[in-house]
Amino acid sequence: MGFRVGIDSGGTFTDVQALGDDGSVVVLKVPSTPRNPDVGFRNAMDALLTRTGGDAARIDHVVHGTTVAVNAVLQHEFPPIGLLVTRGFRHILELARQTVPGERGSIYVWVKPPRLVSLANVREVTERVDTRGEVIHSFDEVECREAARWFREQGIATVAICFINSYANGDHERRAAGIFKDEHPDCLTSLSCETLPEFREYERAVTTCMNSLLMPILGKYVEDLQGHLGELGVDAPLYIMKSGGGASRADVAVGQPVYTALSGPAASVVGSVWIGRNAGFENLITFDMGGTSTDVSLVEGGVPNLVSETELDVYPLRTPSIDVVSVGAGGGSIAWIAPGDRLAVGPQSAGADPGPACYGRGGEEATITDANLYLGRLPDTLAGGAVPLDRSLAEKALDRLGKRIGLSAEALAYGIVQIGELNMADAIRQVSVRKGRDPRLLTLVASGGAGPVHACSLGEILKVPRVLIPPSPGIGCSLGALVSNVREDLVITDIQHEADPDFERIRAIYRELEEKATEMLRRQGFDGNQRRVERSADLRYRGMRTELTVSVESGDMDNSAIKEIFDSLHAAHEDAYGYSYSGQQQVELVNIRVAGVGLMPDVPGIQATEDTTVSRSSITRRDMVCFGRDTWIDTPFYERDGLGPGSAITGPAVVLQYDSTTVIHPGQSANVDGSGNLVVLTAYAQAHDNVPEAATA
Amino acid sequence: MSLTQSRTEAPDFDPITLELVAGTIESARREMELQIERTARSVVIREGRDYRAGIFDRQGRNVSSASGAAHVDPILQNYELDQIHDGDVFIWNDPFKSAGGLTHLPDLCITQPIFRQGELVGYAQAFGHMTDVGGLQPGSVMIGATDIHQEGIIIPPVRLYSRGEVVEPLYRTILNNSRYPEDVRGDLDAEVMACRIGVARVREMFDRFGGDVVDACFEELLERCARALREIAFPQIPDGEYPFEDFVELVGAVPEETREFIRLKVTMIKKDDHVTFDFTGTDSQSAASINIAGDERFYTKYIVSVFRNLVPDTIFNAGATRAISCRLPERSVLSAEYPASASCRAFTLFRLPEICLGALGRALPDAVPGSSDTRSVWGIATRNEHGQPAFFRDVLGGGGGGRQDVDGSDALNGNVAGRSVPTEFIEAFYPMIVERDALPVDSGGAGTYRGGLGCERLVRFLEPGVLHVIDDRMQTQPWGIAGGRAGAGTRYVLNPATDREQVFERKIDALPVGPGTRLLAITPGGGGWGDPLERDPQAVAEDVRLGLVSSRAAETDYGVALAEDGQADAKATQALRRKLRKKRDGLPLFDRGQRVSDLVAAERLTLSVGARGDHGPDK
Repeated sequence: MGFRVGIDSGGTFTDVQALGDDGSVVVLKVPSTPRNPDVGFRNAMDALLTRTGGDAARIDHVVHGTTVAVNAVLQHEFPPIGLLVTRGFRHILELARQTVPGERGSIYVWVKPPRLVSLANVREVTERVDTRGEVIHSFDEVECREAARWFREQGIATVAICFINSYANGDHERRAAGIFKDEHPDCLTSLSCETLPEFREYERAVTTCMNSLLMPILGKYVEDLQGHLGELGVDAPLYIMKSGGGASRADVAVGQPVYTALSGPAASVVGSVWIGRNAGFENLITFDMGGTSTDVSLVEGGVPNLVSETELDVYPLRTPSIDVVSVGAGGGSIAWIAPGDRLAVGPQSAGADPGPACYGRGGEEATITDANLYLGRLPDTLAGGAVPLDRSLAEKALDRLGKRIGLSAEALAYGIVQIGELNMADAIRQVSVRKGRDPRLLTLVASGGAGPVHACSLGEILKVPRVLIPPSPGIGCSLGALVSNVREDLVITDIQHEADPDFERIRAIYRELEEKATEMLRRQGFDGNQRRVERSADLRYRGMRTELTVSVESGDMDNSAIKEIFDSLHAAHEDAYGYSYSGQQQVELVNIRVAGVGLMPDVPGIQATEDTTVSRSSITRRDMVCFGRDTWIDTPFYERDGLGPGSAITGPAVVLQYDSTTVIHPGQSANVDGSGNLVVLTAYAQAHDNVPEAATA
Repeated sequence: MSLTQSRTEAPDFDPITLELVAGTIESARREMELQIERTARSVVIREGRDYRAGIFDRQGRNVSSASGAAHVDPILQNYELDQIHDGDVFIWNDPFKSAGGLTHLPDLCITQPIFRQGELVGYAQAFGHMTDVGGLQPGSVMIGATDIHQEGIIIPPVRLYSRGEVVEPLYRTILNNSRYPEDVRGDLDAEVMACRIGVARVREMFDRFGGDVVDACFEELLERCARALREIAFPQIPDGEYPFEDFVELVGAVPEETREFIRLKVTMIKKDDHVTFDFTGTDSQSAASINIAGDERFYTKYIVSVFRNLVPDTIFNAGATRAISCRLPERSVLSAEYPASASCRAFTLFRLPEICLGALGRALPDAVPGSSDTRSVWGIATRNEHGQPAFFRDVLGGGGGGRQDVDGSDALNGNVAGRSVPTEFIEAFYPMIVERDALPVDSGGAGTYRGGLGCERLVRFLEPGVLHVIDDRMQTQPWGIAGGRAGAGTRYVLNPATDREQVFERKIDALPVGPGTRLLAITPGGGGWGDPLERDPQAVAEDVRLGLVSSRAAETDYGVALAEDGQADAKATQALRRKLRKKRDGLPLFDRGQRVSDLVAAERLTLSVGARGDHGPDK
C-alpha cells in the first residue's frame, strides 16, 4: 500500500498527514522550528515514518505548504538584489503608484516603506519597445554588459530584469539574461516577461523583484528538504503549494518562487473545499482563524475564486492567488482603547510569545482568547495540556482595561468577542455579500485553532444556515497540501477589442500558452489523461480599471467562439456588480490565461470508523458559559472523540478536542456526519426553515 | 417642515454597540467605494480615485469619515419629506444649490434616501469627478471660464430614479451633454450601485440594533469626534492666534482677472477647547475658475484632517463642526456667489489644508511637516487607439514634507488613496510614448529632515492634440518649516532642450500640439523640516550617492563637503557649516523659497504674514 503525504509548516506547529490508498489517515503535529523550518519538516517526516512502520519506499509523493517566502519578506530578511530597467525608469520602485493609504491627512503621518531593491542597485539599459512590441530603441548590448559586470563586482548575484512593454515583446529581456550568463554566470536572473507578462510596469517590476529575492531562499530551502528526504530514504517527488491553490514540483517551483508566496492560506482553502465537497457542500465560506489573523474566502461550485491582484506585506503581487481576505483578528489579538475612549481589537497581536494574558507567559494585555476564556468558552488547557490557561490572569487583564472605559470584566470580554466577530464578519462580507452572494446559500467551513470558537456565532451574524467543523480543524493546511493537484498558471497581456479582434493572434496565443502549460506538466510527469488545460480571459468594458476573469470553453476556437468570449463579460459583470451593458458598450480583452492542471490520484473520502450516538460519557462536565450580556447558561462540555457519526447535540454546548474548541450557541443544533464532520445548523436557519439539502447546496 | 424627529429620551446603548455601529458604517462606506473603483470609467476616478462615498443620518449629518464628502441638505431644501420615496435616487452638481457640499460641475453627486419600514432613516451618497460634463474645453476643467454656465451642464437637486425606476429623459440628457457619454454612463451607474450597497447595509444595521439605538449611536459618533478634538488634539495647542497665508496663481489666466495671485489667508484662533479658522484677509472671488461656493461646515470637515497627527486613530465625521468653526468673509474666493466659475477650484481647495497646517505649525512647529503639493494635473484632448476622440488626464504626485523625525516621502498623490497612471497603460490606450519617469534631483526642500522628491515625466505625443496644463506652484513653492527650506516648484516645459523649448509660466487651457512634441512635467518637492546644517552628513552623502541630491546642493544647502570616495568629509563639513552659519541671519520659521522672494522683490506679490509666521512683512 502506498501513501501520499501533506506537510504544512505553521508558526507554532508543523502538521503532517499521510493518506493511504485504502483511505486510512495518519495525522501528526511536531513543533515548528521557525529559524530553520527545514528541521521541523524533517522531524515531521521522521515522526511519520516511525508511526507508519518506517517504510519510506511506500511514500508516493510529498506536497508541502511553506511560509519561508512570506517570512523572508515580512521580516525583511533577504540578501540585496539588483534591478535592471529601461533607460529613463531608474526610479520605477521609488515612484510606485504614488498612493498614500488611509484617510485624508494620512500624508502627514505615513512613511513610504522601504523598496525591495535599493536605488543604488538599480541600473539602466538603453532599449525600448512600444505597446505592440515593436522596437523603438535597439537594445544596447555594451551598456548591458557593463551593468552585468558592475553587479558582479558589487557581489550582487540575484538580478530582476524589467523593461517597459516587455509583456508585448520580451526579446530584449532575454538578450539581457544571455549577457548576464556570459558576464556574471553565477547570477540568478528573473525576467518580467517570464515571471508575469502582464501590463502595468510597477506591479510587474515588484512581482519580478519578489521572484528574484525569493529564488535563492526557496532554492536553498528546497535543496535542504530534498537532502532530508534523501537521508530518510524517501525517494518520492516533492511538490510545493502555490498561492493559486495548486502545487508545482519543487524543481519547477524554485524557478518561479513568487508563485508560492501565499502558499499557506491557499492550502487552507483547498483543504476546506475538500472537506466541504466530502460533506456534500460546494458553495462555501472558508474561515481560518489562527493566533494573529483570520483568513476568509468564497468558494462557488467547489472552486476557489482566483484573483490576479494581491499583496504581500506592503508590496503588490500580480501572481494568481486564491481570493483570501485577511483581517488582524486572531486569538492573540489585543484589545485596546483608541482615542475618544473607543474599544478596539487588533490588529496588534500578542502572538504565541508572550501570548494572551491567560497563558501566564508575561502577557499583560487582554486578547480575544482571554475574553473567550473569561466567558467560559475555552477548556483549562490547550493542545492536549501543553498550554495551561489561567482564568484569573485573563480576568486581571480584562479588569485593568475595563476600568479605563467603565466596563466590567464581563461586559468587556463580551464586547471584545463581539468586536472581533464584527471584523471577521466584515472580511466575510468582502468576499461574499459584497459580490452579491446570498449567505443563506452558503456553508461556513471553520478551520484553525480558533475558527470553531467563533464560527457558530458568525453563522448567526451572517445568516448562514450551516457551519461545518471538520474532524481536525487545526490541520486544514496539511490536508489542503495532501489533496492538491498540480497547477501551472500562465498569462499574457494582449489587448483586443470586440469590434475588430485579431482572431488569428488570439488563437495563436492560446495555442502557445497551452503548449507551454502542457510541456510544464509533461516535465512533472503528467501524461495524456492525467492532465488538462483550462482557458480563461480577463475582460472589461472599455475604460474600466479592473478586469473580470471569465472561463473560456475548451475545444476548437473558431471566430464565433472568440466572439463568445467577449460576450461572456455581460453575464460576469451582472454576476459581480448587479448590472451589465450588453449591446451598449464595447468589450475589451486584456489578458489571455491558460492553466495547466496535473491531476493527482483521487483522494478517497475519509470515513470515520466508529458509529456511536452520544453516550453520557462524552459529556465530560457542565459549566456556566456566557452567551450574552448577563446571560450565563449551564452548558455541557463534550469530548470530540466521543462524538461518532450520527451523534446529535443541541446548543448551548462546548466541544473540546486536541487542536480546537467548538462553541455551539443556544438555539443551534449539531450532528456528526459520516466523515466525522460536526454539522451545526444555525438558529437562524431553524427559525426560517431555511436549510438547503446538501445535494442542492 | 420638521427635519428632525424629536428624540427626547436617549435609548440605552453600550460602548460595544457603538463600536459595532461605527464599524458597520465604515465597512459600508468602504464597500461603496470599492464598487465605484471597480466599475467607474473616468481615469480621474478609477486611477486618481477622485471620488467619495458617505453615510448620513436622518437629519443629514455625515456619520462616516467625512473629509471631502458632500451634504444631503439639497434634497431636504427642495423636497418635503412626504415627497421622498423608497427607491428614489437624487442627483445634482450645482455648486450654488448643493449647500456648499459640491464645488465644481464634474462632480455628479448621487444620493439615495434609506427607508426602513416606511420611515426615512438616513442617506447613502457617492460622487466622483467625471471626465467631461460639457463646457468650453474637453475635460470640463478650464481656467478660462468666467462664469459657471461656460463650464458644463448644471443639474439642480432632482430625481434620477423615482421609486426605483430610472428617469430616462434626465439620464439621457445628462449623457448627451458629455463629450464622452459612455464614461459618464459607467460612472453614474457605479455611483448608483454604490448607494444601493450603502442603503442595504444601513438597513441591516437598523434591523439588528433597532432604530432608536442606531440613532443614538449616530449622535454619539458625532460627539466622540468632537470630544477627541477637544480633549486630545486641542490641549496640545497653546491658546493664541496664529495667522498664515499662501497663494493661488492666476498669472495670465483670463483678461477679466487682473490679479496675478489670489491670497488665501487664515488665522487659527485657539481658545480653550475650541478652534476657529478665520479666513478674513482672503481675496475676493475671481473671474477665473478657482472659486469655491463652500460653507463653514464643508470647510470644517475638509480642514479637520490637519489635526490627524495629533489624534491619529479618530474617525473625523461631521462632529468636527462642534469643535471647530470657520469664519468666511463675504464674496471671497472661498464663499463665491453665483455665477462664479469653479472648475479649477482644486488649486484653492488643496491649498486650504496647507495654510491651516502652516497656522498650526506656528503654534506647534514640531508637529507639522513641511508643505507638500501632491496633485499635478495635465491633460490632452487626443484620440484613442481606434482613432475616436478621447481625453487623457494625467495625475502626478509630489513630494511629501519633511517631518520632525523623518524625511518626506517621494512622489505621493495627496488624494485619498489616489494613484498614478502607469506608463504602459498610457501607451496602450493613447498615442504617446513616456520617455522618462523619474524623481527630479534636488526637488526636495533641504532640512534636517529633507522634503520628499516630486515626479518628473517626459512624454512624446505621436499625434496632434490639444494640450491642457493648468497647474499651480509654477510661480511659488511649497514652504519649509522650522528652518527647513522650501521644496522646488512645478515646472512644465514643452520640447525641453531644443530650440523650440517653451517653459509654462501660467495655466493654459488649450494649446494645440503636433506629433513629435515633447512635454516635460516636473512636480513640486516637499518642504524640508529643520535646519539643513543639522542634517546628518552621512544622510546627505547617501542622498548624493543615490542621485537624489546634487553634490553642489550638498555643499550650498547642507554644508556637507564630500571626499573623493563619496563619504562626507567630517572636518571640511564642520568648517563649511561654520562658515554658512556665520553668513546667515538666524533661521526663519517658514521658508517660502527663492521664487517668492523674487516676486516680492519685483513687487508682484505682497506678504502679510512674516517668515516667523506672525503678521507683518518679511524682513
